[in-house]
Amino acid sequence: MYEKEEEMLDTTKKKLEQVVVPEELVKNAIQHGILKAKAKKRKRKKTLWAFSVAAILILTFVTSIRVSPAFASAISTIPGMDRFVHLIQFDKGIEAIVENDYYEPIGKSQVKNDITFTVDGIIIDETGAEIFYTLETPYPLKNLDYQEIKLFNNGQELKASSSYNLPDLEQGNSNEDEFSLVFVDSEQFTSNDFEVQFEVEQNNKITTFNVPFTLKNEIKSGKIYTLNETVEMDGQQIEIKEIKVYPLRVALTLEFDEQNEMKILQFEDMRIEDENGEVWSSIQNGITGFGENQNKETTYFLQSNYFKEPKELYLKFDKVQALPKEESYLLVDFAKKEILEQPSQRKVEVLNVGSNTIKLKYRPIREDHMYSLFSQGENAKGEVVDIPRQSNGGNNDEQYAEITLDAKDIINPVRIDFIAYPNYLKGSVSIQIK
Amino acid sequence: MEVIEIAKKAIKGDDEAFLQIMHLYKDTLYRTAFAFLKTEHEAVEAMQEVTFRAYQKIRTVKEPSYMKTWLVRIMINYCQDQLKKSKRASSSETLPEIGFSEDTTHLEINEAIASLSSSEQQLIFLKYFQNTKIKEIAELEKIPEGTVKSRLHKALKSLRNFLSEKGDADHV
Repeated sequence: MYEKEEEMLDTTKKKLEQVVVPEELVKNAIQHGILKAKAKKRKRKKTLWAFSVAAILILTFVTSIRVSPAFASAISTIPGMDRFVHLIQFDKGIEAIVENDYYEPIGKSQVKNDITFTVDGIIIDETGAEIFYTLETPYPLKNLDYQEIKLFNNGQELKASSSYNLPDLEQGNSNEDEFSLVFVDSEQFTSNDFEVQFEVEQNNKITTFNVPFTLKNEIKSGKIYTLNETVEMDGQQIEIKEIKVYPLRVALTLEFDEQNEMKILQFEDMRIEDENGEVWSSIQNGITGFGENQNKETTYFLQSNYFKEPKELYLKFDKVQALPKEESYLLVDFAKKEILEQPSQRKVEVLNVGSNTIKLKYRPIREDHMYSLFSQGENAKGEVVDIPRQSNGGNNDEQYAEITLDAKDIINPVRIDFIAYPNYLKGSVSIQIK
Repeated sequence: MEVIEIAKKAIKGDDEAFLQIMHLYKDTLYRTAFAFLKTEHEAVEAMQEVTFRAYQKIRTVKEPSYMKTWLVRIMINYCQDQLKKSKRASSSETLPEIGFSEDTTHLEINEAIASLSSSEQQLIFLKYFQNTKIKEIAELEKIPEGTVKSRLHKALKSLRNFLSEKGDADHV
């Protein structure tokens, strides 16, 4: 009926098929599109720091996570657990937890204002909790915003830093996800009665859920190794004080000697090995440790070997990021949009200073990893200047970071300490724990 | 591996599979972008943006065998948005058009397609440039096949009217 038009369309189609595709440009565009999407996904992860912890400094991100097929199938045998496979940051500690039935299914819900909040299950020890939950609404979740998540034991709030993913704005009426809580102090629980309190906001209306439950599993306590042993690396003294092994994580406490010339930033490959050379490495996503800005006593979290009984244990590290103490920061005048002082290594290049932003460029620090370069700033009066936004992006050759400081607290000059920097100590350390 | 298997993995969130899918359809997507936007620069930019959007929404794909069409539709939507934006920005009277401006023999059909509504353009593009099945379009649009056919019919009629008016005007 429309033969002529169809024929014309066909000719146009054939012409279109002859258009030359610029291979390299298109490949790069795809690569950038993926990186951009990943960066955005990461930004949606929200971490709420507990106030009592003075500057928790250690937070890294992994860009790709692989789940072993064997483990994925193991987990699918636990009722309800398969729905969460895609979101757990799998490490060997979590694998062992699941294999040893330390994940406890809860399955308790509360319905309020048409919203159903279900606590599906929990993994808890004295250092923290992983709470798996489902949120369901009769309308798209995009109207919802998360507020606070708290965990109570016997009516007492367990002070914790929490992190979770914000609900997906694009789709769906339900969200299955996980809250990660890291307790500020190793908690001594007084009973098996717990309660999750979770607040959501929707059109300025706050709905608070309270889901109480009683744990059947016995909460496993930590195994403690006291060492107080000092090691030297590239002239820097590091005291290994204590190692505590819990189901969810190993907490390793170090103290850096005040006389050290270098400020130690990140341990890229800190790990525990057993007599067979099996490795438990440091936790790679979310909260990876607690420490103070003064760089004295710091606690690092490693994957847990709680459910194994190795004969021997060794603590090892080789790649240690560090900067000379007197140049381990940026000193910035945001009014003049100028950098006044910065590390002489120049391995992180400042591209641009805005009225409350800084753009930086550096060579990728570690494969598949994103480090936040800073945690917070300090203004001329010695007050904290928050950095509410840090974004990272880039490719295999270069990384870009942009940080945005809380403009209202800027009093120039502002000092911003590095918490990660691609400059390394020489040498390596290995000490026997057990 | 079968394309459909790769598509399934990509929907589940497998990054490598997603990359494979994008590489599999990059030529189609690029040419679609080029048809609308007409410059290499803009078409490459479109590739990045569409990769970005697709990565974010890949989990919403229900039918893995329709992956290609799903991607082409994201691309067309993006291009049409871009054209609307640039039209506003330049406030020029020219309508968005599909095609290649140098070749005068195709000017007419290009103009004709450009005269269609956004949804009609998309329909024509999928049916005649991508050979997408009516059934697939119907399922993606969540409308009955009959509706797709009648819309297609209407679009072709508009094309004919545009072309014959244009033809008449040229003969005067």
